[in-house]
Amino acid sequence: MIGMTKNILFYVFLFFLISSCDNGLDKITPPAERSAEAISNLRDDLEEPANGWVLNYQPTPESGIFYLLLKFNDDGTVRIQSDVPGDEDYFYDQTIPYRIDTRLSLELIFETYAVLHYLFEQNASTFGAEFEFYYLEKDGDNLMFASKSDNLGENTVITLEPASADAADVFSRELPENLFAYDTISSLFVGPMQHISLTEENLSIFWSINLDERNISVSSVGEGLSVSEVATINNTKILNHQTGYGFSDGKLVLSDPLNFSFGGENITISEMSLNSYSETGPPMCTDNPIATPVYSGSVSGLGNTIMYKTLFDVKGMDFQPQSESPYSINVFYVADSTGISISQRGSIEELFPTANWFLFNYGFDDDNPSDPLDPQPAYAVGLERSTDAGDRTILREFVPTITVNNTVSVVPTDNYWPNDITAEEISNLEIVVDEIFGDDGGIIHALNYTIESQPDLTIFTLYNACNNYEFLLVQ
Amino acid sequence: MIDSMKNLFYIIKLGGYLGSCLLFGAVILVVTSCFEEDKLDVPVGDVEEPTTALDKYIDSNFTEEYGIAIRYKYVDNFVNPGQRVAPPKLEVVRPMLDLVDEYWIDVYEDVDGGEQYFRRYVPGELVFLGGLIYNGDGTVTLGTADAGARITFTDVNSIDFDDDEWLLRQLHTVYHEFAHIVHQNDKLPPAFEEIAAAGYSSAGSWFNLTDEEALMRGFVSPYATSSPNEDFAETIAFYMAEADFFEDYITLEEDCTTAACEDRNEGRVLILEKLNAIKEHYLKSTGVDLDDLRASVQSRL
Repeated sequence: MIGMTKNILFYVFLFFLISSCDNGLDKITPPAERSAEAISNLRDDLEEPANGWVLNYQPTPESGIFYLLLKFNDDGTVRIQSDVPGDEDYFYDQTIPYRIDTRLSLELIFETYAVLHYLFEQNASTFGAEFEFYYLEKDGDNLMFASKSDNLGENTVITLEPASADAADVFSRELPENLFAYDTISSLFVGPMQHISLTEENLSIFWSINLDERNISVSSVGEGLSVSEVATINNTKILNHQTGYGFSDGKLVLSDPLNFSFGGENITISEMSLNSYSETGPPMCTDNPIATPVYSGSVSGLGNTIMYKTLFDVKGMDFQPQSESPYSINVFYVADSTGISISQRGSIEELFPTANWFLFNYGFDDDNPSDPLDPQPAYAVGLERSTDAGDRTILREFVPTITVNNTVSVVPTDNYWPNDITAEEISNLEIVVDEIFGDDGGIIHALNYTIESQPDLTIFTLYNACNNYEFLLVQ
Repeated sequence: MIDSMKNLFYIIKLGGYLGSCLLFGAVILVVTSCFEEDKLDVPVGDVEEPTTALDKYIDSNFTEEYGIAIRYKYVDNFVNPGQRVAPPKLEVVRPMLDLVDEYWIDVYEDVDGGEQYFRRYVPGELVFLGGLIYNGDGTVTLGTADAGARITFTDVNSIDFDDDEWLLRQLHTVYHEFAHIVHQNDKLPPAFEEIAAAGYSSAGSWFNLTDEEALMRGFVSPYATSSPNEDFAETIAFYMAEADFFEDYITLEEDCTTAACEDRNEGRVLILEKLNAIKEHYLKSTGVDLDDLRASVQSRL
């Protein structure tokens, strides 16, 4: 009896085992089918919103916002609208193919060139924008993705939000288009600089703006509305505020609002309406009086604003005569109007191929000259280069001068140093100096330049607005 | 496959202003290499059913006609991990196909025996990439090919048939890589590597050579010194694409008064000897006369 019961239990167990195995096998879907189903589901989700998706795209934590509208179509294409100017409005409205792949997870790939790829290519493809994304999850009505090719730990999570019917109304494309006019006549190192005049507050804010990556570095605030007023009153404050920005509904919107106190007043700027654009501002170079852009606008609570182009830098006013030693820089950091080092391709490379240092004597007191009868001139510009006899310095004197605001007038003379300088050296140095400063000399703007890895090093970039030449100098 | 794609084609070494985006002293180095062990008869691979007019054109004129798959939609394994490049604009694909037609396929069809040879050995894939390939180490790859199985055109978004530099770069790419197919199938000309044997550079050191130094050694480019195979492919590519090939690399400078001039002329003698060996070998092994090919290419430029 016990044996029969055991047998019954065994067969019952076997029945359930087999039954359960059958059911399990039935439930297992082949991988290819599961992939196809996952792709289909995501495609359905992407195509679902009637007005497509809004993407406020911030490629990196430091960058600003790019406003995109995406409408996925059932033919495998996606229409992308953006507020990114360039290439004759190429990026405003495009339809390109997209693909959903499955590998370790679902991937969304924008297959041919559009605005995302344009952003990807910025700064020699190091900016951090993406056009390949991993699908993360559905969060309510939103779809979440993560960038695929960012470096480990730097992945950017993006959120597609269903767009409203009027989502395209907030495009403010004329703003970034107009702001690009501020990019001309700008330092290679510092970028376009703007002077925001708060007319009712009698304040001026100075910042540099990166128009490609959409971030702003606010340098200072000063009392007064014009540069000359700010410099004369000399009541300024360094701010050092970094923020991304974007555009929405006719406004420049700061990602991190600017907050500071000045003259007993707390100032907050989170967005700025930009209303009226003209090219009526003061020229940057007196020899070449091209009008510069001006944007009139307002800030809520602070009243009217005027956004000028400027080369004024409060920190640049610290570029002062230095008696103890010349200013100098590796000759590599002397650039022509196109940003090419003239030690690599240009007059220094051709005339002084072994030059190592670019020298700028600004009030230098040569109290220990190698030749007591031939001290270096206090105001001079020149080069140190390697020769068979050792390092040799040659200089061309310029008229003694002072820093006015953050500008220095460099007017070369016909005096050269040292006494034994050859005719060929004089001729070649004359060519180099005239090329950098202009035939009759000119005014250069001193701008503070900070290297992130060496914040304690005081570096100025000296920018010639008349010919776009530029060189760094280390204090 | 990607691991074997170690072929660097053209490289720009970029200087930088403190690591910024400024391009100081850009130096273009013409470079080629291929992975010789790879098989050439790689199948075309998966091809989606064409739906757009462009894809139907490709299917009809390239895939069905020659067995070539045209890859213009981005796939990340077109480049190595760490390399960054964007895909092409949709509207440049058709003009690029026209370029491939006019400056490569039609050239072979123009000459005796060319079409037969082309159809037999044409690579299975042509990849179009929109920009330059940034390598993350300050260099930029301008074009790659994968042992005759795949030829990758870069910077196609800059397409401009009136831009000689751009057009020559594309022609160099395609003729260099196709030249490898010849020696992969029919070996190098006899004793080819002995003609300028002393001039080949040690591994990885071709970077340090200037164009003039390469010429003095008897090579058309620094990268040609990296191996006899690359020398063979570079010489053919330069011969096909460069209008001034004879002036620059063959014709001796007269009235030399400097050692450098004499060295350049000695290099030119070696290049001529190699070119003659290549032409004879090419005709014998492929049935195609390189002079006819060059004439056909040059007539289109």
